[in-house]
Amino acid sequence: MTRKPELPEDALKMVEEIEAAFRPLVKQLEHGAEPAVILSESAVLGE
Amino acid sequence: MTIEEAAAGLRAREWSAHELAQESLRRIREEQPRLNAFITVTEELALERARRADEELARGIERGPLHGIPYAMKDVFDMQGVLTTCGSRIFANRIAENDCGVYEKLSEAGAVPMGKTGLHELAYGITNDNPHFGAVRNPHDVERIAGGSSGGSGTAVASGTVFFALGTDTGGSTRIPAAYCGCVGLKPTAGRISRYGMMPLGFTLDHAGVLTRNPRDAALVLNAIAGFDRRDDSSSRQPVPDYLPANGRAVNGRRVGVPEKFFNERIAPEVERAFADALRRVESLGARIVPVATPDPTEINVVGRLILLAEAAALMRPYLDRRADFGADVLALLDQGRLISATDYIDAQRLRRMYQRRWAEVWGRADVLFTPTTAIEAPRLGQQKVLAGGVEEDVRLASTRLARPFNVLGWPAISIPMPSAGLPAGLQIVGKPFDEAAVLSVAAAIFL
Repeated sequence: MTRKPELPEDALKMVEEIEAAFRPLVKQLEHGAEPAVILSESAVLGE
Repeated sequence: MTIEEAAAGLRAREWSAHELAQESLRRIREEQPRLNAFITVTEELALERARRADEELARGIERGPLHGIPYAMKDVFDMQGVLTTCGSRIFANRIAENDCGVYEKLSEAGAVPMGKTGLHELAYGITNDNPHFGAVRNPHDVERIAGGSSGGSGTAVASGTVFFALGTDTGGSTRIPAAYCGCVGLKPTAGRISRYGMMPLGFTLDHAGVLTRNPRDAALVLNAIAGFDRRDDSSSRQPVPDYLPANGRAVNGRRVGVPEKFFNERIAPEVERAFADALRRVESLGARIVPVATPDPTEINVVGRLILLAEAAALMRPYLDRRADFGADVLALLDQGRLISATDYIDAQRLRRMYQRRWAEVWGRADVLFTPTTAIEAPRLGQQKVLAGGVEEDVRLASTRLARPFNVLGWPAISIPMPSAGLPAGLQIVGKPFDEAAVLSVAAAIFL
């Protein structure tokens, strides 16, 4: 996590909660699987 | 009155578009002090469009069933020369320079724009208790929330001020107000409706949505606004069928999948009863109820929330030094989003792809899915916690946890009212990608 000390403590706490819920899910990803390519056909074509 | 009835009356000269617009304006004036559904009323424009519709209809120029029909748009859709505030102080004076894609299509269809509806600040929340424009209130009980973030659109439709309204849906924001206000809310498949000129919140989760009084009206509006738009990278080239359901036994023999777990847990008793009645009704009409196993939505909801936190924070980063211009709840979410790492965001998108495949296995056993739209009925304004099935829960999570998975998946989903003794409750019908026709035909068949 990129710590930003100027941010309120409760924001930090809530992010820690969602990260705690999220991190175990990542273990389901196999190495190299699901490359998250967010690039549409129209973007490639420059439309 | 339905859109089809209003359209038939226009063609039979029983009333004019001008009269429909005047009646809509009268209702808006009457209800605005009580419900606060609108941020901007476009009276002059509405009367001009209504006059044009009457002239065209008199000359035999036919633009379809929305010709001359009053509607409203959530205040995130751009209309050239009109304010688009996004319910935010940051954009309180923002005049749109162009028309959005859906407004262009509705103008081609001859519909009559009555104004821009209120929303949760930045469309980032479900209460619509907006610190800058005031709370939008539920027409069934003004001490309760309308649901959001498209609460003004839900309230405007449910209170009868307009025939239909446009909303957006990033984590349930069209379906939740439909459920709480007692109207219909359709979120089509991702890419089905153009997002050009629609102010974003979560770039990969946002959908445009439609709120109406009944499912057939939703089909008529979708007919008018669906389709490819080259100005929107996420827009789909899938063919657009006629969505208006044929009259007949649309549910006979259909497999209605009902999740065995998760979607029936921690549900308020009133919602649970109404849902059981809806299942009995669809079965009595000839559908086959099929228990189905879905993945645990808690996981996909965590992924969806993390993606939204990051995307919304990236979107609003240029304004985050203006901290006093944000409401406390929205600012807290934006602060949290700044702390999400790039690797977590990327992994969330990878997990999303994995879940899309896992969830799609459900279509081997079912044609549509039924769930409640929300776990609870509309909470009171200011209420933070609620009892859902005997368990105390955050109001936001109890409102979104059954709806958000279908934003992450991008599947079409509609909320229709379930008859209940007290406050409205919503039945959510979910379909395969780009099978809005099935969703709408089942919804129309069981709608009371």
